[in-house]
Amino acid sequence: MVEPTQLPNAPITEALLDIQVKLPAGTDLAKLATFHEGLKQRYPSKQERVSWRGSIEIKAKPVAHFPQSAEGGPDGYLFTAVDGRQIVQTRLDGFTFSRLKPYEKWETLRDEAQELWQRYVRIASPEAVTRIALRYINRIEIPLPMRDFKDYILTTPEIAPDLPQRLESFFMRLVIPDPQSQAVTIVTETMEPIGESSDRLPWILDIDVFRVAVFNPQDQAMWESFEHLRILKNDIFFKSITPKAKELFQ
Amino acid sequence: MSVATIRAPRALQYVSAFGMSQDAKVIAVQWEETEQHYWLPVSRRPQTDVKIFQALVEAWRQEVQFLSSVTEMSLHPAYQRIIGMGASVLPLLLRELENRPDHWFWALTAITGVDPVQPADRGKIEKMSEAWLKWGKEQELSW
Repeated sequence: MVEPTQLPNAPITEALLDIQVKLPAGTDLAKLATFHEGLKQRYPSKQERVSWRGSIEIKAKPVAHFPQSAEGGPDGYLFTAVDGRQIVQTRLDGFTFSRLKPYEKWETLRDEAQELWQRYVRIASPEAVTRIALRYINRIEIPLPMRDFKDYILTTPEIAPDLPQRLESFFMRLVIPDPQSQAVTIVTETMEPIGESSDRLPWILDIDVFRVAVFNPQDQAMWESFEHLRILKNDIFFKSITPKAKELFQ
Repeated sequence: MSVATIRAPRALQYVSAFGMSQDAKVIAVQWEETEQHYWLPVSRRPQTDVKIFQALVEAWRQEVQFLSSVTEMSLHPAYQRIIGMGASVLPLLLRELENRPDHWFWALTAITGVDPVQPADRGKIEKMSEAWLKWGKEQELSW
């Protein structure tokens, strides 16, 4: 494992902690809505979350036109903090806490998530946790002109050497199992189009580490497992970038 | 590099937690584009897309039957959701147009960015349908 380094100007644009659960039969949205009670000062904004077979929409008001079905429908709520930097989702299938940039540190993220999770457990009484995940989305602004992506990023798409080497866009997703920790990492990389006058190439490096396992919702073992996921996430991040990239975050 | 064998694969394991940042949206959009590109050939299209489409068509038909304004019909949420399904529903829309001609023209133009209808034929559902079906054949779409 690589020794984790605290970067003063970390490229993290979003860090999230996600817990999927099995709720008791009959748990409904009205019950999840009570999550907001006692939290309105810190997270004043409440929105309904609608899932539609993989796509997600956020609605200010309930959707009246479609019956809820196995294919989709309202499945929870989003609560946003006063500064818009922290968002918690309470859903019929789980709980997610997101921290948008600027990212502070793992301990701050974990402690806030832990407190909110306890609140979720109190109102929804999940029977079991079925999957836990940490997802860190990094935006690495590579200075232009640049000779090779590999000067900054070590996992990159490659074009056969005899073909033209210009690349307008790409989308790369790698699913990497770690049998030792029973975790799986999904590394997703893409780049945003470069503006004509831009002197930076925005490279997005999304590291999603998860473990499918059954935990007791109240058990400390789940939080210990999150610590392992964090170590794995750091290992993947620091082994995916070069010293030259690290200089960008100083 | 080796390819890992995963025991008891479950597709849902690989659904990432839903991010809220702008960069999370960039990834979601690019994922969607990649997915749409993959599913475009009829041979790869999942059956569930057809079911969702049919449910939306029926919801739309029921709820706009007493409307006379094409704009209102087109702004109906079910209609907008069909547009949101993107290019993968083009053959389904053309099939619908062939079997039960109706106001699918706005959706077709929104999805494709083209309008093959001659100005003189605007407002004539049959003529407009013919123009779109001809366009679909020219694009070698099958439905």
